[in-house]
Amino acid sequence: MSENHEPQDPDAAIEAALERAVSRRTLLRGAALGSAALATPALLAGCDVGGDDNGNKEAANTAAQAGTAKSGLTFYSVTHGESGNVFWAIYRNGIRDAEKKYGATVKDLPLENFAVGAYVDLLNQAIAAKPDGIYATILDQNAVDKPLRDAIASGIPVIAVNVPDTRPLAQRIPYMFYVGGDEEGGGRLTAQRQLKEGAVKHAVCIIHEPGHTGLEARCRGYTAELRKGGAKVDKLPSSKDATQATEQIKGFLQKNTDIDAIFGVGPQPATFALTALDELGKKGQVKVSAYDMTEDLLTEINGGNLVSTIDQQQYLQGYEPVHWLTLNIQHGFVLAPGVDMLTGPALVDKSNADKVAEGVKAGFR
Amino acid sequence: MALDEQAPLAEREAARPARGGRWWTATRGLLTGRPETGALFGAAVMFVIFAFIAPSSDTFTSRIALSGLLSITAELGIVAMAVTLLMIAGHFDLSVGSVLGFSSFIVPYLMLEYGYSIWVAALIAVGVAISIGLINGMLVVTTRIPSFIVTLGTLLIWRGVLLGISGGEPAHVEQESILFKIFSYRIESGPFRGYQVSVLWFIGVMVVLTFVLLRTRFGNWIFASGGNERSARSMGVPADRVWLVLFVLTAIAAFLSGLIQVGRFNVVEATRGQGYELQAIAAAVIGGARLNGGYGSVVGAGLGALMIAMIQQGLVLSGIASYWLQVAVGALIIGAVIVNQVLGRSRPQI
Repeated sequence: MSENHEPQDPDAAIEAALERAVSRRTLLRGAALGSAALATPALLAGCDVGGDDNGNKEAANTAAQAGTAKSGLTFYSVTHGESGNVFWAIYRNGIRDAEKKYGATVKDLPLENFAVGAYVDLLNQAIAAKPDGIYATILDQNAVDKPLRDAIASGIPVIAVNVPDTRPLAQRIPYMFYVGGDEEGGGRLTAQRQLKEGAVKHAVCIIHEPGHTGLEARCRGYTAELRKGGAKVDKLPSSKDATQATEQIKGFLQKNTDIDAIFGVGPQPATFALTALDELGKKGQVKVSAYDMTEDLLTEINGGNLVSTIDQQQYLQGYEPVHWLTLNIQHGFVLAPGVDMLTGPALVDKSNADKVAEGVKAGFR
Repeated sequence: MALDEQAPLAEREAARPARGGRWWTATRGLLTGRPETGALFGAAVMFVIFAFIAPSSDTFTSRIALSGLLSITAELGIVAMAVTLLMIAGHFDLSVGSVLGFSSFIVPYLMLEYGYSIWVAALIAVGVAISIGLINGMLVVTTRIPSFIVTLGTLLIWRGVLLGISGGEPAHVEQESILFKIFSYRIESGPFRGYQVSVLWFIGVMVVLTFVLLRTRFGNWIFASGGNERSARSMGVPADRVWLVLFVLTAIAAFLSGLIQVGRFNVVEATRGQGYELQAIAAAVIGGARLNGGYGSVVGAGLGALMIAMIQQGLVLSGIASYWLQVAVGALIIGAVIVNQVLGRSRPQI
């Protein structure tokens, strides 16, 4: 990532990053009472951008003709990443940095309450503003199919972020490419990392939201990879409640005393598994891995209780679309058909936990 | 209509033969007409079944399984028993899960962000819980909006405030404290190794609430204001005050369960307590509480919580995928209500 950046004064960069981290916390806290207040300006911005948008476009064309780097392009980010969510706050940090780097303006339209219909409305609103490019989560591939195809047909380049269109290339929405994670790949990577610690005979994948497509995919990848080596892999759907989940895990470990590897598909099940092992006096005897990033998980990795966790590097999901849309508009660059840009899974273990922790503090991860 | 209004009163009298009576009347009442009779038999049958199903015989009756069972029962039961009193008085509290999450989040949050000591933080959190209960109660009493709607609103509001304050991030507290020992101590040696002190809190709350319900004037008021508000008022029962107190009680119970979890896990994530309200109502109903008020049992709610815990643990220990858990709990709720109705009909009428 660093080679993409212009050389910077390192002190200034750290200072800026710290400032951002601080303002992120303040912002999140401010969001407590004002999520409606936050949403309103976003919508207003969405409406009145149409006006100065043309101006931007003209500027962009002039810039493109002149072949200069400053673009003045306007893009729309339309996602289900509600304000106040940590994961998406880091995505937005990626957007802000890319805006500065490429001189672009990104209008951020987050869906505040999960509803496919409302999401399509947001998307249509973005398309109606005729921006230079759109990046959107493919929240429901059937629902967003027509609006996005129409947008692409009208000449607006589109990039999918965070959630792809899972259909085969011939049927999928003809967006440029997908920037995001690979859940199943994250599961496979976790299995491979655990195998480096030693043989796995009987593993369990703990899933705290049974039926959640992404989480089930993490389990699927993990299970497939371990079964290749002949291991037995069970799946334990657990309660969301801390006590209930911990006791379910303890019960499972008591019934299956030969468990030598555990994969919690999110921070919670992994943390509860550690508590369960601790209370059973088995801490350190079982390889435990998690998914996603919290400071707590990094502490556990450094303490040797947790083998690994997975980072989606969502900063890149905010950053890279601005980069690629700009390059595409200015120079016509594309990736090979069907090639996506996978920002995850990135493995975090003892070897890089410290470095990653710095990134967490600075708002990059 | 007039007949309908009289019926619950008669049933209530039948349901409380123990009032002011001697022990033998209480025992007879327990066997024939108490609301928790069904739950008691159900829990016993379920225990035997799981003890047999769980293949290697040591699992379901083992120390680890039993202590786990009781930990779940204790936390859920404390909330469910308070919710039951409110249901007997004719109201719902759907906000308990959010209150549990929000009020227990406040403890580590105040310690981390404002440097408060754990005692001050806990005291403020109790105050917040009481205030939330008062708000629920005041809204119900003054606006006459059904409590189902009011607390559905506050369920969303307090969860939203928690998500907003936390930004979705968990709050940690790494501290040894007597406070945590009082609520979350885990016995480390002896015959009760592995059991949590929360079980004692559960028993304590059960005894106190049962006493209040069956042996005090306030208990009478609870039954009366849930049975028929109008006739209760005409007899001088301060129904509004009863409801206010009970809404505060459910909020405090939710905080108590939340605090027990803080002490054990040292962390509160923003989703803590989600779905607890429905589990609590399920436990209350399994334990014999009637949805339209005037009838129910504290002990029954405790047993209802025990049965839900048994299903959770039993399925895991029997090797049945817990994907089927909700099927089992759902069937249990409907089955329990049917059984309670049958038992209710055969109850001696006065």
